[in-house]
Amino acid sequence: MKIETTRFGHVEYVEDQVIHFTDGMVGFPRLKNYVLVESPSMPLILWLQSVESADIAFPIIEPWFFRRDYKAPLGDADKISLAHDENDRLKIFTVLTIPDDMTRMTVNLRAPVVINVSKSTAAQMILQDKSLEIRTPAHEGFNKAMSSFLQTRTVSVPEASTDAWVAVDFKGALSTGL
Amino acid sequence: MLVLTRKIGESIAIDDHIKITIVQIKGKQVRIGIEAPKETKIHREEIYRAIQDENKAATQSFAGNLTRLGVPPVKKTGTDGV
Repeated sequence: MKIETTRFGHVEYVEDQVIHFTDGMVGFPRLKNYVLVESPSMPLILWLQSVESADIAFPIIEPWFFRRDYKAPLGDADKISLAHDENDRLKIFTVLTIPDDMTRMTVNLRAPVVINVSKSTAAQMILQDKSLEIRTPAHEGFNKAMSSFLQTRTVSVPEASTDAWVAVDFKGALSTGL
Repeated sequence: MLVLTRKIGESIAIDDHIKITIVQIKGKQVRIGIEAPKETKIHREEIYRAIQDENKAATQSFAGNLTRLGVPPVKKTGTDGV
């Protein structure tokens, strides 16, 4: 299967790579199915690309770069959305907003995206903790994460990225901690 | 919008499964108790709206090259690419 995305061009995927949001993302209730898309030109960030809408994609990142002690306790409604059983493997991500001026990028710590890897389901939670900001400045944390990422690995970052975007086999990739 | 007057301790039933109770009135604040099925998602509206707006902003995010993120490209040798 393939999507002709507005951002990443042609993205091929298989059924197994589709993540189902029972309730959609907040404000996007009709879009239920997404694939994770990544590119070596932009490590650490994954993109939740809608399967149903070519121009809708959310950049997501793990929250630990911004809060080491980040916790997202599942509420009852979240558990139902995720079809969550006790032994299911969950992955937590937070949504980035990246404006043209990158130094003003923010991360939404209040409404994380939880992926139930075992069931291929996901939900955007809204946490009760008022200290978690919807627009947390993220540039510094991101730069630090990127610097240590680039130091620990010898990676090649291609200049052009138009054709480098691929759908993530999230069951495999996420099980090894990306 | 349906508007009802209630006293402290009184409730409103919505369908069979949702019950809203006026718990306390203090100055300009009202404390409300809500009983609903556990799959019901209940949030303060301004938070919900703010997250909707932020999600919309997130979908406008720039998806360009790393260099635009202020990180220099690194060559395969691992040397600094500047």
